[in-house]
Amino acid sequence: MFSELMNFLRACFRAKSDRHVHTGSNARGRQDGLLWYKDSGQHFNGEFSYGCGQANNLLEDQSQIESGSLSLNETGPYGTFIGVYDGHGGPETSRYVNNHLFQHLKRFTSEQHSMSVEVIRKAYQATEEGFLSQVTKQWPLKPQIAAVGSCCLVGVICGGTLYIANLGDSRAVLGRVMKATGEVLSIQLSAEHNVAIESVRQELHSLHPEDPQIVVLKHNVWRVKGLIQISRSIGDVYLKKAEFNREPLYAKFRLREPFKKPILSADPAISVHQLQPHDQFVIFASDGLWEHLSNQEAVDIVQNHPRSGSVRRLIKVALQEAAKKREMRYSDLKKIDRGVRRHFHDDITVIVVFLDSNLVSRASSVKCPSISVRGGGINLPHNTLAPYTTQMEVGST
Amino acid sequence: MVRKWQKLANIKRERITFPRASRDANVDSCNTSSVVADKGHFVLYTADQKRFVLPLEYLNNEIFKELFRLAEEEFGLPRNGPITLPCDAVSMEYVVAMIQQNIAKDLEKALVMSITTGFYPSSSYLPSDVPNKQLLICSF
Repeated sequence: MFSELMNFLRACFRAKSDRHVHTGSNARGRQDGLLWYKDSGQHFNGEFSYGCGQANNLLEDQSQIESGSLSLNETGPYGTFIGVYDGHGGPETSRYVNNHLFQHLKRFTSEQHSMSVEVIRKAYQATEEGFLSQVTKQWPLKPQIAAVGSCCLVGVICGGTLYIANLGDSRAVLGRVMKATGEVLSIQLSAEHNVAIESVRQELHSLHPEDPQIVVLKHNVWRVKGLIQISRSIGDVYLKKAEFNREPLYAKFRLREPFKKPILSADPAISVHQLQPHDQFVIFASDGLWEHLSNQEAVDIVQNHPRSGSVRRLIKVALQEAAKKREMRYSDLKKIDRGVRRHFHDDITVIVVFLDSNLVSRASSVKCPSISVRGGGINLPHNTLAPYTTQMEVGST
Repeated sequence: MVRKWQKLANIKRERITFPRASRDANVDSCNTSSVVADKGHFVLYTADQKRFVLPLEYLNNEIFKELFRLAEEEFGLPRNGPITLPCDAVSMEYVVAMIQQNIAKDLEKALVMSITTGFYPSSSYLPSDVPNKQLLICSF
């Protein structure tokens, strides 16, 4: 109670003193320049650390952690849900996923009375269909919505089982202590659907044998139809439904030949892992982190430092690496405003979920208060006179 | 308006000596990719692999914003390497000189307009394409 009051007072004070630099704080997280973070929090299976480094003018990375009932009923099952949605072409799809995927998941869990691969698959499908109907509705007034899409990485921890579902190139990495040496080993739990990977290109070629140009190398980067680097996503309906690949969509998105079957897929790869006592934590992050840090580097950073602030540390190391690649100082990189910042690094979203083996082994029927946190960011247009903003969303109960 | 600006640019062209190393902007033709820019600066490469060290304030300039947008369209967003713009060193020196001379806002707008109306056809990025360099300057 007292700490909440202190936080409140601190937030009020900061709001007055730091107006011009977008700094703010509340129980859900803090905004410091383009960095939003929540150093630590508690979820059904342990602690978590959460943060987001913004680069785009409008944050395209959206994310959430939900803890408590994974169904619409008070009877549960209980557990933790983690989602990282890396949007492209705009923030619309990732925002849509952030607002709908978990609700669909809860609905299907209620229907089936348990968590399963099937429940997750259906939740993805319902989200994809829901977004498609949004595009259909908005197409006459806002046709460019057809070229907006999002990666979609989800983790569900329920009854000692970890489900990982993925579309696109975000990644989940497990840190597991090796009994013999005490070292923590990184184990990648998801595979990226990015055509930079040869097997992904082969998959596309085998799905589209009639089209030798299904993936094209452009300026040393492989792209599906010369347009996009990922082969699976939510949205991007201009590459899924031919009726949206026409005017008034921008010419650069329109394919010369009409296509008969979807070029991109929305079918998630889902894996199931039985958690073990020596599984320490899982790092969920958008490719903004992974383009600068290897799995093992990230796992070592989390393991070798205090849990609280893990994510802020990971983002800092990634930005230092980005600065080095751009041949400049980290302190200068941080001064660059959103929008232009995208040329120096991508939006970076990271959620580290620590696994407390006592809590993980607890039955999924054990009730707990629900917690809901969503990644923050600055989403106001430039030149808007709003001196102090923390774009926080929905609260917990 | 554009004509007025071209006229002015022509006059200026006679006066400007392109700074190879000035207080604010440094052009570095040798390949010193591991060197970190001085405090308050960032690094750009032109399509012909010349290195420019520029003050951070240039990132707020409309001309640079437009060049960044063109770079994204042309090369995609950079991943592992430094930032490369789809123009050559000569035109970059020109842009830098314009900014250093604090060109009027309407001239800046005209320059942005001439950039957007495509004075960099994508076939002209070959480093050895000397005639095109001259063409770029003329088109200013």
